[in-house]
Amino acid sequence: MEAREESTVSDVAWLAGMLQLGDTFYPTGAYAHSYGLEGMVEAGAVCNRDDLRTFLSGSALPTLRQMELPLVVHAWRALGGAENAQPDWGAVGDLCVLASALKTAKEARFAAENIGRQRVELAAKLRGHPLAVEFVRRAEAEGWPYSPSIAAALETQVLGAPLDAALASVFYANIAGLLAAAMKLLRLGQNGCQTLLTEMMTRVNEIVREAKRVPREEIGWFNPWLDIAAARHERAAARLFIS
Amino acid sequence: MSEFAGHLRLRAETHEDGKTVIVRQSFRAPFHVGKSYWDEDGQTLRVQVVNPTAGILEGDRLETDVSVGTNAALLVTTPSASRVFHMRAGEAVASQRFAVERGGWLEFLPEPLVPHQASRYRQVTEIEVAEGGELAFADLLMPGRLARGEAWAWSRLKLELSVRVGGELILRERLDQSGEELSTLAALARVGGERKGEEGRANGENETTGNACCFGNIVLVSRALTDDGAWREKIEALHGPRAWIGVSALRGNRGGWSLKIIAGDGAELRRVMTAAREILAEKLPRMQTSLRRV
Repeated sequence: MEAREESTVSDVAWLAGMLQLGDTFYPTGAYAHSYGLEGMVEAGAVCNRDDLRTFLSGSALPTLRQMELPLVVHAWRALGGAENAQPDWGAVGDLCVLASALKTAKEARFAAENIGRQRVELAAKLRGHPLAVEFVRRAEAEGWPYSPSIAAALETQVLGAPLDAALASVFYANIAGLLAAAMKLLRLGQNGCQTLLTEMMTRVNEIVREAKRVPREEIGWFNPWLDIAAARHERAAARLFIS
Repeated sequence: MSEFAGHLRLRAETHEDGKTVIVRQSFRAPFHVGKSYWDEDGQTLRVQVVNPTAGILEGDRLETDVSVGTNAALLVTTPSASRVFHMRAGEAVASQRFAVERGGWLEFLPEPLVPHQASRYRQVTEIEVAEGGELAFADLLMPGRLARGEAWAWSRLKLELSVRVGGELILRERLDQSGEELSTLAALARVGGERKGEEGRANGENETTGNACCFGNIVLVSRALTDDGAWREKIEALHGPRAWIGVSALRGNRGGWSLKIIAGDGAELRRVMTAAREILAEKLPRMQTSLRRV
């Protein structure tokens, strides 16, 4: 207990930094995306709260477990890991390409690249951290596609935050982002959304634990329904969200 | 059960008369290569690969290596579905490699994979297309033996696909879901079933195969397929309650496209595939090659 009271400012600086990154006030542009949900609503697959719950548990959580969170883990390690080792820039570049290649729908890929670019550039601009500055230089020079997951790994290194905190943060942002979009797309109130968010958050330990065990060659998740919905949303005559 | 290793190796090149010929071939059961035919309409050599055994069995190790040389054109088909049978403990593994050189054309259009109840199957596919090469690769998957009311009952199914163009990775896909996981998503979308009402409930659900659907995963690589082409609109117009269809450009600006189909049953999948192939043939004339059984 005494140790907790003696926490220094530096012990919690990373937490304050992560709160900043997760705040809707932070200009990532994420609010403009539904991450395929609008396409699934348009297709008649997600019509109500029960459908949304199935979509979250059957699509969003497995995608986090098998794709987005493992990308964060592997990128975090490639960027130096817990020992702040020298980054393996070749591995970082390969992971950026992999993150992009895993998204077959152009719209989903562009959404990810735009958000990822904004996050990386903000990390370099606002904090001037050498790792973030070097990341931007290499990404531009070598044409790496940006990715929110890789950006999250970079932000974690820049802030000196624990990996688990970053994974929990990505988990929360992903589910909360979908639910925020769902409130605009479905007849769903704030309490209903918070209930679902709370229910999904009961899975965070399990999802993070399993995501950390996914080898690089096993990263990926198959969801043709979402891919098709995203592909059709790309050419929809009217839409509320960019993706 | 003892391991059974089979292989298929094909190398297609252009003959001096401009036609494509098989310059190297090697195969071992369960693969057998039938007589090849030159298709005048599509200017493509068609090869049919036959599996003379019942299907894919526990312990099978299958290796496929197909390469197409500069300006050669090859269509590879199979006459019947690939059934993956019940396995007690082990698994079957298939390793597939396809390569297309500059100016070459490869269409790989096998009949669907049908994983039976309690089957375990792993398939790793690597495709390398040189800049200037063209590809139409189809991977069709049935959820099981629908006529027997069996769907999503495999023990383990892992399908991995990597596509590189000019050495750059443009697509990486990985199916490693349980049947239950895919069934949940299928029930949500209800392709081929009754459309949901306002409350999201569907009427008249068939409990046996109501969640079943068949997948068509097609990868296209060609500079002839542009973003603003009528081909895309025509294929997208095939979308409807009985089949979901999506077309989207793959990464890298290398002429890569993903065409995904989810159909309510095998007949609908075949109908959409046939229609899509006819539309694509307007831009990719080698797809005029006949698929009639030989």
